[in-house]
Amino acid sequence: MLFPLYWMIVTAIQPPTITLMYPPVLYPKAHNLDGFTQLFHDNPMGKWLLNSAFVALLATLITTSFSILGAYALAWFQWKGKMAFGLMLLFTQMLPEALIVIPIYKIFDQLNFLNNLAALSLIHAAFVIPVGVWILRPAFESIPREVNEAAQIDGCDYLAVLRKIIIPLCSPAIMAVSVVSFFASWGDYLLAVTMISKKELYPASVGLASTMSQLNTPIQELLSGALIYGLPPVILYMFIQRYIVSGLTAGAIKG
Amino acid sequence: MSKFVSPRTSFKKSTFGGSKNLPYFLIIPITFLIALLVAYPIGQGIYISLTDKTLGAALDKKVSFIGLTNYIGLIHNSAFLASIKTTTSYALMNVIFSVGAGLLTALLVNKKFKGRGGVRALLTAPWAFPDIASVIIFIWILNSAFGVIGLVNQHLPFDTSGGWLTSSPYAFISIIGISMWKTFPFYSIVLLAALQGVPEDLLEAATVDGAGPVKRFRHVTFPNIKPTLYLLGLLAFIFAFRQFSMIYLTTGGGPERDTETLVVSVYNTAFKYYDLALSSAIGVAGLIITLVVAIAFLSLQNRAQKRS
Amino acid sequence: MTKEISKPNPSETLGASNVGRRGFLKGAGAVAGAAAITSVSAAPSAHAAKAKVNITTWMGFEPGRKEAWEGIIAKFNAQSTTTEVALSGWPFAQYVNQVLTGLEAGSLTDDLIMSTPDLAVRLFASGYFLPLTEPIKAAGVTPNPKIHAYVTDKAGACYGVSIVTVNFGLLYNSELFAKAKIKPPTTPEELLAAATKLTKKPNQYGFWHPNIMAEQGDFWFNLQNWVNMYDGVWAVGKTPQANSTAVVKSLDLWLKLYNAAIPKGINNAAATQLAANGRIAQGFWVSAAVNTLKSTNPEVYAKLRSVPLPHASHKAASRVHPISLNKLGKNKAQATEFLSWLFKPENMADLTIACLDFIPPFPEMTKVAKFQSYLKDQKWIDGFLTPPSVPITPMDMMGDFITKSDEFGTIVLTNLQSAINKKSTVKQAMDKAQTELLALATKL
Repeated sequence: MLFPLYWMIVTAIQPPTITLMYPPVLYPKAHNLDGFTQLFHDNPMGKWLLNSAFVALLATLITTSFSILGAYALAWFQWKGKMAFGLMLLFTQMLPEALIVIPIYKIFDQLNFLNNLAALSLIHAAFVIPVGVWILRPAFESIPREVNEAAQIDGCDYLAVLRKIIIPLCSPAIMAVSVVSFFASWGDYLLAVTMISKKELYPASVGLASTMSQLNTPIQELLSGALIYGLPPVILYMFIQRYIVSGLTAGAIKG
Repeated sequence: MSKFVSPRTSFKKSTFGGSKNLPYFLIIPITFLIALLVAYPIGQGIYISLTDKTLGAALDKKVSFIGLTNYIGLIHNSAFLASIKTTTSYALMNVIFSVGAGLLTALLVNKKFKGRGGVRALLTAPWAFPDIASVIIFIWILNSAFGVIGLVNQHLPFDTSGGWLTSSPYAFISIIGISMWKTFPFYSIVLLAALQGVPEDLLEAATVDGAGPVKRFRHVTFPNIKPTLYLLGLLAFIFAFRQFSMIYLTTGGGPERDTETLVVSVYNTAFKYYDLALSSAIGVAGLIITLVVAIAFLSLQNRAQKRS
Repeated sequence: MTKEISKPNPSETLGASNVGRRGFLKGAGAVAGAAAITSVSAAPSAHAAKAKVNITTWMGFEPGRKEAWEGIIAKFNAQSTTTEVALSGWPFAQYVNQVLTGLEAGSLTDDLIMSTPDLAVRLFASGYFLPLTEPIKAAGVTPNPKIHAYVTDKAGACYGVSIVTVNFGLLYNSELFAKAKIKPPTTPEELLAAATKLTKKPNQYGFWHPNIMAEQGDFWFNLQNWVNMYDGVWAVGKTPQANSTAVVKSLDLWLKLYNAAIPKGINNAAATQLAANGRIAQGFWVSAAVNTLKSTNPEVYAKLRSVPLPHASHKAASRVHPISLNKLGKNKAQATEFLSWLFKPENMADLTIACLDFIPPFPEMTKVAKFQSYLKDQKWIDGFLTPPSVPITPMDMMGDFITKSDEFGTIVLTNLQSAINKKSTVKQAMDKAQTELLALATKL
């Protein structure tokens, strides 16, 4: 289960002369941090990580806010076109991005969005929002409609209901959406590699993948990179996994 | 009381927050984003699929409209049919094994013990692990010459000297294994929560009636977690269908197209065979499949909701 | 959609995605067609001091070469008052795709493009290059007509000058050979024998050849050369020869080496590590790879020697990598200024020496004293020199398929997998490939 992660750490700290031996030894025989220093020396890894963070945070912001609005519309109201909207979201959620990556490239090119990290966040958001709505909708639906009357007495309208009641009550689910969105954006490769072609603008996923093909990237450097790149989402996950589970199962159990 | 509040009744119509058109305003951001970045590209993809466009064509070469020629060619194209078969088996295997492993794990861990939260967090970490990092690790672990898999290879009754990622059928097994590693931890915690939602008294009653663990599972537990299982099954299917980087960067669709799912085929046709039009046609075929599955799921869900 | 490409889009200049924020100089203007390029550097606008010229290449990702190119560029930038050059581009594995996609969409507007031989032919045929008559004349050199034949038009104008010309040779670790008391091979059979003897898996491997589909570009250009072992060619005119006796025999030899002596499933980076640690005994390396070995481990580098490819004819593919003017570029005058400087024999010699290459694109370079003494110093060069090596070009081996070399390679390699996986013989695999190649022929 965790062995791959353990092995990553071992390889990241072992000099390649030992790593490229057979049979492989399961515990680190020697260790150094050369992989990390080389990685940052040969590549703008720090910049790459910052790029990833920027894109992921922006995508999360967009996704969370748009999803809240969309889930509210679906959960709280009856209106014509609800089915169609729901179908559009489900379709986008199921749609493999690889199928339309080339046309998206062309559009980005026409809009001058290529090599634009903020635009990359937009496209990330477009694909995660359906999941966000899908998580939030049951959570919003579980709030009793009586709050409408209470709000009406206080002179509030629907937007206030959303702001003051629903969002605070559903914060675990909203946090789950933010986390899911962050992971999806941090981990994206295909969209990023298609839209970003300038080395200093690479998110870490693309940057790391580019070092895979470099002729002098030893295995230690590569796995050090994987470690640094993989660590933030895992750490984030550790802190909030309790909330994710409750937020996600709120939808799942009801089916 | 009706499930939904009709906007016409409760709030002042004059304020924006009370207008009956509020839902339409709420969905403007999403609709705009998806229309621009999903719907329009799909349209373009459909258009390209009706032409003979290739990558790197001469500057003065005119792209001509050839109608459904690409699609007619696809019907007879053995590579395309193979990719459909590969995608289906990959998706099905993923559903069965990932959800199955998730269920088994959940059942096993469904006892209270100290530090369960920590163990759960640690075990499910792979879900949070980004794709490229997973790819790097697994390429290294499964490396034929130096990967740690070598320690296991010698004890296996079959010959993997061709490489786990470079020979059949091991490449296919590998990609299923990798996606299983990534997803089943997550399914297991969802199922764990679902298991804990099974009413205790029903289980106790069954035990009192003399039902063993298997019977208890079949008659009490399973019906209660069925909706969750279906949902996770759909999620696993979607995950497999959409998966690109963990297949493409590990096996490249090989060997010999063994692991070339529909999605990988779209990419390879465009960037290895430089045939953009055919690639778009395959993409459109994928879109149609997506649409069919989405509609099927929605109607099944509707029917289930009406019944309940 | 192709119409976007022939007219430079004004909004792209304003978007300045590749030209940089300072790049608003009105250069020579967008010149369509093959007319002469004006050499007037127009008056700089109020904003910009120097025009930015980018070179799209993979060199920025190659150890050794990256430093060589950055050094040369720094030298140029220091002496130019109007132009500033910088490297851009992608690692080799993605390079061809990115360039093709970028040119196709009209978004690749870097003024200078470097190409692999196959890419160069394709781009030249598609009309993306401009003639280099002016910088060639300004530098006073005459590019070797044989190796530049495929980027030269009927009127004799050259559209690309090679900045890296590499040969294949058999590079070997003399220490390992001495320890095993064997001599470098001179026939295919000796090659297989030597490789097998020098293999002690997993610590030592007798031969290196790229073998993973994830690095298809490397896999293919090496395998492309391989058919010289039995004097095979991949195609004659429009007729593919994938299942010809010579090709099948060569691939059979390759498969035997693959199973006996090649470390399977590792990428070039890992192989370089192994070789630099003295754990790979020999390989058909292009001279270009030696630089990487040197920068990775100078000790092992010192033990490397070479002999010509071990077969009777000593034919070896010579790969020319031209630098060309991009038709979609914006600062043609400044790019031309750089090329005129670069093509001067002393500067080209500096670049070649720093990159550890040795094949001059034009004879004027051999007269540079620094270059002559450099050649004498390289102990590993013998097998790569002509003679004894007999250079042929990919064109000679690929026939009319040279403009679709990548697709050809994909078909061959994909079908070869079934032989690698022991699901069919090489002959059967190549028969299947032949069918697919005949279909490809109709698209030529």
